[in-house]
Amino acid sequence: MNERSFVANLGYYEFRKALLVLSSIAIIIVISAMSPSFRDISAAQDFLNNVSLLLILTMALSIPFLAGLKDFSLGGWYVLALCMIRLWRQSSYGAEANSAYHILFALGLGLTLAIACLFQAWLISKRAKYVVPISLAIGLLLASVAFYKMPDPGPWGDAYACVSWMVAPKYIFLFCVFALIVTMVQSVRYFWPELFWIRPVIAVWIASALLIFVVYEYGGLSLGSLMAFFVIMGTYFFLHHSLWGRAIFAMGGNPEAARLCGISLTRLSMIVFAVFGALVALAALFENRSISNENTFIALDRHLDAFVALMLGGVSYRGGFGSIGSVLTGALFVSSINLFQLHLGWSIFLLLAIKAIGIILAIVFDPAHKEV
Amino acid sequence: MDVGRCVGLLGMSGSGRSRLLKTIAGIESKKTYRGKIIFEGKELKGLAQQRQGRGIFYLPRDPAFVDRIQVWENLFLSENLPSEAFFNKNSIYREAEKLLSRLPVEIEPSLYGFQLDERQKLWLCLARMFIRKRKLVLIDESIHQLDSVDLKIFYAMLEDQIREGASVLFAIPNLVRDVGLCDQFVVLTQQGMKVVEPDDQEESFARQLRLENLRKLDDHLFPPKRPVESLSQEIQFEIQNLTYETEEKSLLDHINLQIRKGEIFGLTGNSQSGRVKLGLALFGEYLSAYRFGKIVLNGREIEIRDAFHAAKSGLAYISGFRSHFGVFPNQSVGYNLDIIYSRIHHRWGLLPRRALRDIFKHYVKLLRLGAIDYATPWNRIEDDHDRIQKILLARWLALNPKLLILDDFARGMSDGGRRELYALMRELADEGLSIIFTSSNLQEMSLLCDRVAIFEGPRIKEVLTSQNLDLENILGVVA
Repeated sequence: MNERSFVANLGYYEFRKALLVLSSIAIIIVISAMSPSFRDISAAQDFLNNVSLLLILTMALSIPFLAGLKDFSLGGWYVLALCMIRLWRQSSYGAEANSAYHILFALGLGLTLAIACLFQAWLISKRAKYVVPISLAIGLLLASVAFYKMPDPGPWGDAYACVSWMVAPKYIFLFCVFALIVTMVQSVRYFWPELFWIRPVIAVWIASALLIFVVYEYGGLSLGSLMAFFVIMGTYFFLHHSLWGRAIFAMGGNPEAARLCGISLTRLSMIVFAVFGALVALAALFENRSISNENTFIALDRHLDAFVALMLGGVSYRGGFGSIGSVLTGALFVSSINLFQLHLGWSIFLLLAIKAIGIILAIVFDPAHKEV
Repeated sequence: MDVGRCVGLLGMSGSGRSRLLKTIAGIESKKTYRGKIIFEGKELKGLAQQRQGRGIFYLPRDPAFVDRIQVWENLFLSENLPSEAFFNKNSIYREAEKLLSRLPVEIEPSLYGFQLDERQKLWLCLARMFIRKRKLVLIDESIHQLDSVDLKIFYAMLEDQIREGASVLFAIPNLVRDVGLCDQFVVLTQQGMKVVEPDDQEESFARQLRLENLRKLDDHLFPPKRPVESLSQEIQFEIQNLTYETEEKSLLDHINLQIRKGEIFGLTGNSQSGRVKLGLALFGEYLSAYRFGKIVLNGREIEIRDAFHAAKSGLAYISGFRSHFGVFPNQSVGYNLDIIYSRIHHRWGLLPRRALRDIFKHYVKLLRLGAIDYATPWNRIEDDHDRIQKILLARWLALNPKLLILDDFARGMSDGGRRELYALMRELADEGLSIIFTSSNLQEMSLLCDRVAIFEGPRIKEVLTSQNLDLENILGVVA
């Protein structure tokens, strides 16, 4: 019985996640004490939007990494998606389109990127040892093409949907109640005598409670945050309840054994990159910062943030190990670090140095990365 | 060990012969062992390269070889050259020429690695040993690839080294070969090690047989032999003229097998022969090779495209190299158990959670897996090889396969675990499951199997049936 107790099951990664969450909270408290600009409702919403965006991007990046495919093309695909969005909004169709057309465009963008990513997956599966150079080259190629064709920002501002579209509190509340009931009932139904599910369920409850609190405080939730919430749920479901999610962990953990278990590594990497492309497109729809030929740093910045969140959160660089919780805590921590630049005016290079040290520390102290 | 001794290490597969040699050579990490290694009165502490400087030479099991550099560079790859940064190419080249002229194969030192054939590569790696005077030579089963003529030449060269004052530590391959050179044998078992002196008067074959007997397990571990008449006559699985060829060599050469329902069919031969390759080939390895022949299961021809097809058509493959070919170490026990079942019995790509739990509970009870539950992390049972092998077996049994391919299945398992698994195998065979059992342990072959095929290189040399199936006969065919 002792073995099953909650504390005995807490491993290194749980402590790491807890540390990240606590330090994020500490950072937020410090910044709200020191900076008057953060004590504003719009600043809080901006923070929430940034977290959501980073979360979607990190989630996208984590899926190839879990499968053991070290992908570095995220920035390139992201800029390409931003460029396509801007081209659409400048075109005559985009300027006059109603919301149905906007949704159609969003779906089309996701589908296009997913299909385009299949090419990368095919190339990578044919040259499995060269994932890093291939993906880096593809990323560079896409980013340069996108910047070459990138039009100037128009009069409508830069945000596509994120800030202005709000969802009313009553829908959020209904959704939370629904989620609570479903998680509870399903868990009890399937696994009653064993209690290993209790931690994720408690996590979902706490998240819902926080969500309800935030929504009533701010009078609604932006669409981006809601989408991030759906992405978390969807990715969790994809990774832990579907065939492909299981196969992704298998492929990352031991590709040779995975192949002997009947997993087609080529087909699986195609699925992985299709999901990756769709999530990157989704994230691009909620980008709220301006990007232009003069300001190319943002693509690298977003990619870097996602990578740092991944490494800090504890998704294994070698593949096969990591969880939704790691991605969540990593994204939260990196976003709160970024607040130093936004509200206290720290130099971006100082933040970069902090992130770099963070990556090194995370790798050095990670038991999963130890060479045997 | 005294100077000038030649000691042979014997043991079951997975008993730790290679690990011992690697530990002495400094290849294994220092954290993996405790105790001291004393060499020439001083403790060995440094890295592999420093140990080599002190006269210890390790010959790995498979030829260590770089394709893209020339032969003379390959030859001196592992040597600490005298000057630090610059070396005299001409003198080394001439030295290499001189050394290579002593070998039974002709090798031009200016050739590139990829231009050599298998035998040349092997001899090149063996030749590294004779570059200079060694004090301790560690040979890790690499001689099993030599044929008998080459072996004699190699022994003669090795004897010269011994005369000059080298000691030799031999890991004797799983199927014992002529080891007349050894002055002493050490048998590694689960209980510890025992030392055996050889009898100089003994014939080569009698010695092999005696050594093979030394590696034996307790006979009580095996279930009683069953009469041949009790076997069904129905043919469950058939391989006709199966041939796998790459451009360099042939992997399997005209394999013909007929396996009856409920039969345990043994495959043996040395580890480079087709016995391991057959199982892997059936599971979609070597797809780039040219393939001919037919595979028939239950009277229906099946085409193996990948492991998924093989599993779906009723084949199952379990390897003894669990950490490499079987285990997902980051996941839970339940995940490891039902990974294949979930791939076949899913609904619209979603996991059949309840069926998976039921299967887990069923096999935990059936195979007596002890106190584990579905979410137990794998690292908690990482060192329990008996339990791991049972879980991997359950992974395939859940699919109700028609043919089970077990490749060196009991590698590194304890006696208790072996007894349980052998009994289980016999039980499964009695229920009508055909089993292909690959092993280098001749006792397993003779006591467990109904028929045994002996591989030599890529082809089957002979098939022994249960009338003439005993240790002596099998060894007679192998030798």
